[in-house]
Formats: sequence, structure tokens, C-alpha cells
Amino acid sequence: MTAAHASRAEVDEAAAHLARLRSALSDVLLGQDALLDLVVIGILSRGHLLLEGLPGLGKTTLVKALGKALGLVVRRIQFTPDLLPGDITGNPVLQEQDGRRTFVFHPGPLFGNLVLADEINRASPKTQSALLEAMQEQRATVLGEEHALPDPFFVLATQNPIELEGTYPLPEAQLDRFLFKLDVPRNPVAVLERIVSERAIGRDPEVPVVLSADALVRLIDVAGRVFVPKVVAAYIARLVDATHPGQSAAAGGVRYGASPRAALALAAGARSRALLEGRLNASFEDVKALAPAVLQHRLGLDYAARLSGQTPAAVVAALLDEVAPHDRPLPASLEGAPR
Amino acid sequence: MVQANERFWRRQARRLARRAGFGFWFARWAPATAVAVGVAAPVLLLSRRSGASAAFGYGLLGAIALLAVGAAVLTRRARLRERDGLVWLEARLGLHNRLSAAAEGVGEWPDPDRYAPVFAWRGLRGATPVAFGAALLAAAALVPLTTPVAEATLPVETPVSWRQTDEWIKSLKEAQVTQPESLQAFEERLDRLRAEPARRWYGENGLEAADSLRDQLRSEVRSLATDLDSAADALEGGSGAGAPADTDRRRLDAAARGLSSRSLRLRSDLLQKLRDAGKAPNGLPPAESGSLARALRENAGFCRMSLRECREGDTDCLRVAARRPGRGGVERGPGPAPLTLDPEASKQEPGRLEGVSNPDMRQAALGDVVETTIGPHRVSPAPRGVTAGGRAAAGAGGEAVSKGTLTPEERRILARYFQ
Repeated sequence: MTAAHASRAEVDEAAAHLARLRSALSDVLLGQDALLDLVVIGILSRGHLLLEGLPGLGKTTLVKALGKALGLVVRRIQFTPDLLPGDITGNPVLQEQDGRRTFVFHPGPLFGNLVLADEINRASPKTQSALLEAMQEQRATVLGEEHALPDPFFVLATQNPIELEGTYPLPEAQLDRFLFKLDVPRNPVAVLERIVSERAIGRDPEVPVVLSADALVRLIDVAGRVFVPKVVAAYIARLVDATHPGQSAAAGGVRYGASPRAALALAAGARSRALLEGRLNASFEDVKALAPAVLQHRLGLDYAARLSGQTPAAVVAALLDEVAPHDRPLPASLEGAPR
Repeated sequence: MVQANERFWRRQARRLARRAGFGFWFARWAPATAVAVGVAAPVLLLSRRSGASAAFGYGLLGAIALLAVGAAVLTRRARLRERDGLVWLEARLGLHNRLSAAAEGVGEWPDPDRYAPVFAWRGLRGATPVAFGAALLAAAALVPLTTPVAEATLPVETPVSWRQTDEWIKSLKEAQVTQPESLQAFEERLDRLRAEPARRWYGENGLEAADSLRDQLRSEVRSLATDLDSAADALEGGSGAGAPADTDRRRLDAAARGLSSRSLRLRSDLLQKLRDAGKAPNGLPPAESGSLARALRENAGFCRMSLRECREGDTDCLRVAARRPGRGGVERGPGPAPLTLDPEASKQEPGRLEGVSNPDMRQAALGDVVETTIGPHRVSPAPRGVTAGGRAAAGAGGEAVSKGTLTPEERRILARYFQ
């Protein structure tokens, strides 16, 4: 638990910084404001993000812009089936120094503040598990020796929903490590028109540095101290509990539901969203807004549900309809109450 | 100001919670009550006809109250708390849980200006059936009915023998002829008869017991009077010779024994004087003896007067009897009817018709009246024919036809009797 709740001054200052960050990012990734908000919320929540979308929608551009705007060290790893764990963690290299030969650790691309794991599902499970440790423990173990990763450390992994042949779907344990799974939507025509007008292939857009890494850490600290009222915490608990089979009608086709880590992720995301909007406390609206991103990749559907075309996103939407934020309903005779 | 904001929001939350609680309670209570009231309406009509509507009303109220309590118990879990009220308010007003946070001490309470009434009654569910049922009930309660009039419970007339016994006891008490304890025994027996249920008063046993009591009392009173007369005779018989003759002394002793050993015993002081007179070897002095004899005769008269058995020529008895209050008529109590002949001067006025009351039925019959007029005698030249109370015809073979004149009241009673 945090020592003290975020003060009004802290929240206002953080909101101002975040507004500048969003503005900078939205100048880079056109027409993706909702996605940008979720990415910023994920960063503020110290979360790792899984971006899923077709190639060419700006995922890599987003990560690069984010790194630049935040003054972070950005690393990019293109995952392939022959990628080995050492290729991402780094390897000890035999070096001769003063007539003596010693192994010196050469950090891999994992050692950055913002790691773009491109097409993560193309790597072998062995390599994926090396990334799993880094995401969970913020460290890499090479030949039994642990190496701490820089702080802050974020993994933004991408996944292509097509061309799944020859890929290694991420195991549930690894999926659970991602705070959000974000769908990168296709751009509408108006946005495409702007892209055509304002961008050119091979030229990255200019991104101003709006925050330092230290400032980001302070923002993350403030976000962690945003207050979550008891009623909101209760709502999160009921929502996560309802994802399990038998706990709600919406979870009828669910094989396994969300873990407590999902509840923590929802709470952290709600805090960050409140901070982004300059509020002192998280709210039901924050939880509702983030529930799809937090829960959909944590739900496993059974065979019948998948066969009937049900998707985790639809289940989450049904859950939000079914589980009311208020644990005590109003009578139908009071106008304004849901029927 | 901050506190005022907090008070405002908390008050609003509590109000909403109360309204919600009532809504839940009403939704539970109304259907059951509507059914109960709907069923009760025809039952109320029937009960009104049978005259038990008050008991039914209390029963219905109790049932409705019971339903209300049951609904309250069933909806107690659904009742909102202040915290829930705050949540609903902030959700409806788009306050992003600011109220809940402020209630937990984080952030400030919003300005009440942001408040707008967001909850209103949509129409209580179940109110229509309840209103309909209540209207039915009201109609059942208020619609005029031709209620069968319950038969008036007329007071049961007590048996004649009771009344006579009671009357004699009262007379004896007033006259102070006997010892109070001896009268009390008769009173207690009479009270026991009265304590019996009215339906037994006229049963064979009841009437027999009442008649027996009356006859016994009458016999006792008669014996008392006889003994008193006998004692007075004995005293008067010995008064002339200075010393009482043996016969008189024996009569005196016998009378004194009788007066002291009966169920109805003579008053103690008189009895003592009588004993003293019997024991005195030379008898009492003439004056004292005469006084005692008069006292004994007077008490004997009281006894007869109580029984309304005045001797012929016993003017004292007649006078006292005539003075006794009464109503007159067939149901007369003791004493004469109003405006009856009285040994004393009455307020007779010319032209006034008065009934005649006379214990000696040979001299006066029911319905006899007397009128005094001022003026010359009016004598009918024609023979009178049949007179009231007289013999109408000689008949044949011992048959006799009598004709009497009755007062209207007496005529009504006779007619009722023969119906």
C-alpha cells in the first residue's frame, strides 16, 4: 500500500505532463487517440503491453515515438523462430585482458527501458520464457548469473493476427504478464488522408522530448498513489470474479477466468486513467473503460464457445452489462434506475 | 462550507436510500396486500351482515400489518445504506466516484450546485392493485346494508314468588319486627335463586324452589303474627286480675317459646320483655303489660301488613297498607294504585274518575271506578241490565255467565295472554 494518497497539486502537475505527452504522441500516430491513451495508461501502470494488429498500422512508430518523448532507451527485437534466449538477454563473451581470459557479459537488446518485441509469437517458447522472466522479475539470468534490467522497463510486444502458421501462441502464463492487450484498429479514410499528406516512407516524424525517465518514474509513483474508493475496488473484485465459469451468465463459455493479477491490473489501470484525467480517485468509468484491454487476453474460451464464434471481447462486453457497479440496486419504481 | 457540502450530499444519499428501501418494501408488500384486501372485501360484506364487522376489521388490520412486517423482513438485505446512496448519486451525476472518495476522506465534497434531482418515482409498482383492492374494501365497508335488527333482549321478568318474598323481607326489615339474622337467611336463599341463570328461573325446579321459599316465609310470618297475637291476648287476659292466670301464663310461655325458636325470630328486646313478663311471679304492672301487649299487636299487624293479609276491621293494618308505595294496575307493586280510595281524605274533585282499590275483593272488582259529581242525581229509569262484575245470565244447568269491565291496559294484557 502507498503511504499517502496523491494530492491535488501532484495530480494537476502530472495531468499537465501527461497532456503534453499525449499531444506529442497524437502528432505522431494519427487518429489513434484511444490507443494512445491506453498505451500511456499502461506505461503509467508499469505494465507491459501486447499490441495486436495488422502490419503497417504504426505499432513500431508508436513505440519509437513513445521512447523518444519519454527520453527512454528503446530496443527492438524482431522475434523469429530461430531466435535464442541469449539473443535477447545477451551472452557472456570470452575476452582476454592482461593475459587473462574471462567471460564478460554483453547485454542483449533486452537491456533497454522500452523494448519492442515485434511479432513475439514467432519466437520459440524457450525464448518467450526468457522474456517472461524479464517482464515479471525485471531481470535476466544468463548462465546462472542475474542481471538487473534498467528502470523503468517496459515490454511492448506486437502480434500479427494473421499468418499464424509456424507461430508459437503465447502461453496463458505469459499472456497474464501483459497488463493490456490492445487492438490496433485500422485507420478511417480521413486519417489515412492525413497520413498520406503528412508522412513519407522512411522518414520518422519528429518527436519532442516531453519527459525524462526520472520524471516518468515520479509520474508512475503518483499514479500508484491515486485513491481507489472501496466501492470501485468492490466493483473490480466482482467483475473479475464474474469472469469465472459459473459466476455469471456472461461467463458461460469461459473455460478459465481472470486471475487476481487481472484485478490488480484493473486497479492500476484505473488509477492511471484517473491521473490522466486529472482526478484524485479512480472511478467506475475507469474500470469499465479498461476492462476489455485488461480482461480479454486473460479469458480462455471453451471449444463450444470458440466454435460458436464467441470472442473474449464479447464476453467482457457481456460481463460489463451483467455486473453492475452498484452492489445494491435501486427499485424499479425509482426513475433513473436501470430496469 | 466543506461541512455543509458533506451534510448536503450525505442527506441526499440517505434520502435516496430511504426512498429505495420504501420502493423495495412496497414492491413486496403491495401484491400480497392487494390479494388480501381483494379477498377481504366480500368477506367484510358478509361479516357486516352477520354483525361482526368490527372484529373482522381488526383482523384485517392485523393481517396487513403482518404482511408489512414480513415484507420488511424479506427486503432488509436489499435496503440501501448511505454509502450506496452516494454511489448512485455520483454515478447518475457523472461525479466519477468523487462522493465515495470524499466519504473516505480523499478529495473534497463537490459543490451542491452540481446536484440536480435525478431520481423520481416512476409510479409505485403494485400501487394500482392495492388502490383497487382498497376501493373494493371501502365499498364493502360503506355500502348500505339492510342489517337484520337483532332481537332486543327484553329483561326477563322475575318470578312472582321472588318478588313476593323480596317484598315481604323488605317490609319486615322496615318494620323491624324480627331479628335481622333470621331474615338474612331468607335473603341469602333468595340471592342464591337469583344467581341462577335466567333460563332456569322458570324451570320446574326453579319455580318450585321459589314457591317453597315464599311459602315458608309466609308460613313463618303468619306463625309469628299468630304467636304475637297469642302473647298479646295472654298479657291482656292477665292484666285485669293482678296476677296472670295459669292459662294466660302457659299461653305466654308457649308464645315466647315459639317466638324464640322459629326460623323467623322476634326482635330481641321484645322477646326479652316477653320472657321477663312470663317469669314475673305477679305479672307485669298493668300499664307496662298493656304497653307490651300493644307493641306485640302492632308488630303482629306489621306482619300481616307485610303479607297484605289485614284482618277485617284492622284499620291500622289497612292504613299502613294503603300508604305503601305502589304503581297500581295489574303489575302493581305493593300498595294501592294512584287515585284510589283511601281511609283518609283524598283530593277528590267533582267529575274526576278514579279506580277503586280494595283488598276485599268481595266489595270491589277490577275495573271498578268511582266518580263524584256535583248536581242532581241522574237516575236512569231503565233497568241497568248486566253490571260489571255481576252475573250476566243465570244460564242453565249450573252454567253462569259473568261480564266484567276491564281497563284498556288490563284488556291488552288479557289479549296477550290468550294469544
